[in-house]
Amino acid sequence: MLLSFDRVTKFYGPVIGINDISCRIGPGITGLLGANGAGKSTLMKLASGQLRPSSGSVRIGQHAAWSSAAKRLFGYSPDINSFYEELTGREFVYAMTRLYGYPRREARERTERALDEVGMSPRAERRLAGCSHGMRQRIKLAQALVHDPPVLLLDEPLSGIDPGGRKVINDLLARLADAGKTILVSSHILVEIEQLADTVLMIARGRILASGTLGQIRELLEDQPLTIEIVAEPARRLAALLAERPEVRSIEIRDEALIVRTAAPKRFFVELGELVVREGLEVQRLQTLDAGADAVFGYLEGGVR
Amino acid sequence: MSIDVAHYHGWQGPLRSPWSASLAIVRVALIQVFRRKAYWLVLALGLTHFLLVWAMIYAVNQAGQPPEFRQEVLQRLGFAMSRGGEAKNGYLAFMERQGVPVMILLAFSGSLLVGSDFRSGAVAFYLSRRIDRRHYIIGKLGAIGAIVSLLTTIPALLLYFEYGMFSPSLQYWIDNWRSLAAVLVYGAVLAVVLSIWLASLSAYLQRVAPIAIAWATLFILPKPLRTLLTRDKYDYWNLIDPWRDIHYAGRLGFGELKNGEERQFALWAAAFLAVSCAIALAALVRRVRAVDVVE
Amino acid sequence: MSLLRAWLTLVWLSFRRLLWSASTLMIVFPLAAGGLFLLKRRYGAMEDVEAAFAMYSNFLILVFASILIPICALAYGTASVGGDREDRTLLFLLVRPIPRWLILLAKFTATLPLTVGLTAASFFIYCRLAGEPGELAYQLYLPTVLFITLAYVSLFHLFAVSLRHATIVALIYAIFMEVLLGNLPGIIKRVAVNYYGRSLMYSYGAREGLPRPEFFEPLSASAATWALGGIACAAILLAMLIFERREYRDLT
Repeated sequence: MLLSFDRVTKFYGPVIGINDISCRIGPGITGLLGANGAGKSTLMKLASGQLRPSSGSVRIGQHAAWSSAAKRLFGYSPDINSFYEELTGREFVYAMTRLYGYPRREARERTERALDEVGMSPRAERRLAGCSHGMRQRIKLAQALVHDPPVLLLDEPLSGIDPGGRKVINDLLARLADAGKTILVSSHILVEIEQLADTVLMIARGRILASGTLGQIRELLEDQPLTIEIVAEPARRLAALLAERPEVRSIEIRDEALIVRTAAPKRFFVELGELVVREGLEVQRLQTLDAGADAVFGYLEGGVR
Repeated sequence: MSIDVAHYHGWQGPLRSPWSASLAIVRVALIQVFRRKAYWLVLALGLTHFLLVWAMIYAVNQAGQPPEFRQEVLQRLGFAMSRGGEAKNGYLAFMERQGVPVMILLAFSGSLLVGSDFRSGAVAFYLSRRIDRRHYIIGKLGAIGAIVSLLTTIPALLLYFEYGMFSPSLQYWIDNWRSLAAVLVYGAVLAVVLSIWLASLSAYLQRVAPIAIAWATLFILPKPLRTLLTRDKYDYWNLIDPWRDIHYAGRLGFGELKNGEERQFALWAAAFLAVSCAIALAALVRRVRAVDVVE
Repeated sequence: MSLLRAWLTLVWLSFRRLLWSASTLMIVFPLAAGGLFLLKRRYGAMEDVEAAFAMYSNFLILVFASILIPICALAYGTASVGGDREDRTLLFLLVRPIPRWLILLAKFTATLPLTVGLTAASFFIYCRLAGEPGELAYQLYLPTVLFITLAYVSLFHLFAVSLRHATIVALIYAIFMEVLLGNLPGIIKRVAVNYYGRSLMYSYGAREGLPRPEFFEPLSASAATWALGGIACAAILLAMLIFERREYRDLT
């Protein structure tokens, strides 16, 4: 099932929330990355049919996301901490299941299955008002899964969940992705997405900055600055030689290691190799410190400022 | 990044009393209230009445106005009982007429200022500082009291100031110091009673709808019931109307009550208010806790 | 998956939440105060039944129909949608496959038994407490009480879907604007629900000798009934239309 945005723009009065976004999100886990105010929530609200685009269209399969037909096709776990506090976790998920029109018995079975999947079965008798943040997150996830939707929209699903719970949910999402579900997960914590998502959609100021795997995005940015840690003998000699290179921005000596920031990584690595051979230096460790999602996102966002 | 790198460091100077935190709570609460457009609408309603009275006082004090006109206007504003009759404190009459916008504004504010603290768990946030529940309660009561005063006492004081300014000397203010004192006492009774009742009600009911219903019931229903129930101005059934109780209790002292019967009723009203405030305050203190245990 | 089943679930869920809400607790106090008032007045013990009927009718018109019914309708009418908006739980309903207008209709349907039941039950108890004039009033005014309740509930649903601070606006409207507008000269009074309610009550009451206030010009009973029914239908239809189209941006 495809979730598609076609030239979508969303205005909030004079403020633009989403600016001419087009993308197609297919089966697998897609991470939606962006800082606060980047437009992630607006994108999620458009996908879940809470908002209508000012122009363009958002579709789930063949249906406009705003329509009630589309709402059978997705499960949504919102980034709010509000519930029917007087209900127990089980009662809440059951009520939400019944709102899809299932008969009692079927709804009860689906409720138990969903609670089991998120690891909440034994604790679902507790009133929601007394549940921890992590438990509430799992309940939200359970109510999104009850009708076995082909598309899952999860807004910050891992926030407030302990490491054990994260593993349960990561494994669950991986299983669902393997089963062919389309899963869009938003987060501003990049490590989370890095571990979870196959594909990443980076968003800032209402525009998509990049999409693809983190590796693909990094390749596109090969001439972007990079921080590298080098442990070599003699370290001070290497530092002096590197300091003469124009592509090196700064060098910091931290314990035994050199922390080098370069403006042109590709040229730097070529020249470092030549230098090591020419000067007979011994490199014990060479590692890039910021090739992860944080750095990529930082570079990209810096580019649009 | 470690705390050292971020240059965080402990405060080296002496800390002020926790009571100054109550002032901070008042300030934050007022900012919360006046950030909303709807409050400005109700405030505008209250200030329209103030501006009208201001303009009338200005008009009657202009030279060349015939005495009959002056008397008529003063009478309409509540400054004189009747033509040539005994002078009456028009400032208190003005404050009583402000009751409607005050009631609406407070019905609105209860959930925002107190109820939402309980609903969103912000009480624990407050009480995790160097303050205890006394400081929190005083801060919240102060905020509600400030809102009440903003619509009643402060405009009344401005009117008193205006009236005196149109006199040829300082004599008006000297002759009428009792009026000023009466305004301050009445304003204090209004602020104290309404703030304690509203804070207590909001701490338990928390959401806008039940607070508004309870508040409306408290201040609107008793009036017609009292009218239908009583034949005498000082019948004890009149005590069921809180506005009337505040009206009489606020006039105790400074020569505002003219006869013994009135004074007697005012004492009963004051006793009724004092007991109800004590109960409400005890309930509020019991409700304000740093840890909320959920079954 | 059946839409009807989903809709009925929503009706039941909304009904249950409203019934066990703080609003129910709060509404009991003014209704009980009305009952205590009637116990004190003892209209049934009065010798002059016609005078007792007139006094009891005045209580019903000035207190029950003008204050208690609007407060009951407000307690549930604005809270049914407004409470979900305030708590932001409306979001969980809007992402379910129930057309939005049906969600509002479910909320309205859940509210009706509560408000109508509460006002009709309290009206019945009041009339029992009022003795003979009460029995007379019950026969005459029951349809009017139901019509007024229906009109206020619909109107407050319209407020709830249109306005963010619906409870407060409804309160200001019901308690002040209705009284103010309903007593103005000319045709402006026709914007107040209360005016049609009073017209009906004075019309029916006149059959038993209830005097009409000097400056009150009522509509005929049939016109007032049509007006109240029309307000109820128009308000709820408009509310459904607005709810169907409106984005609630403050939910997340």
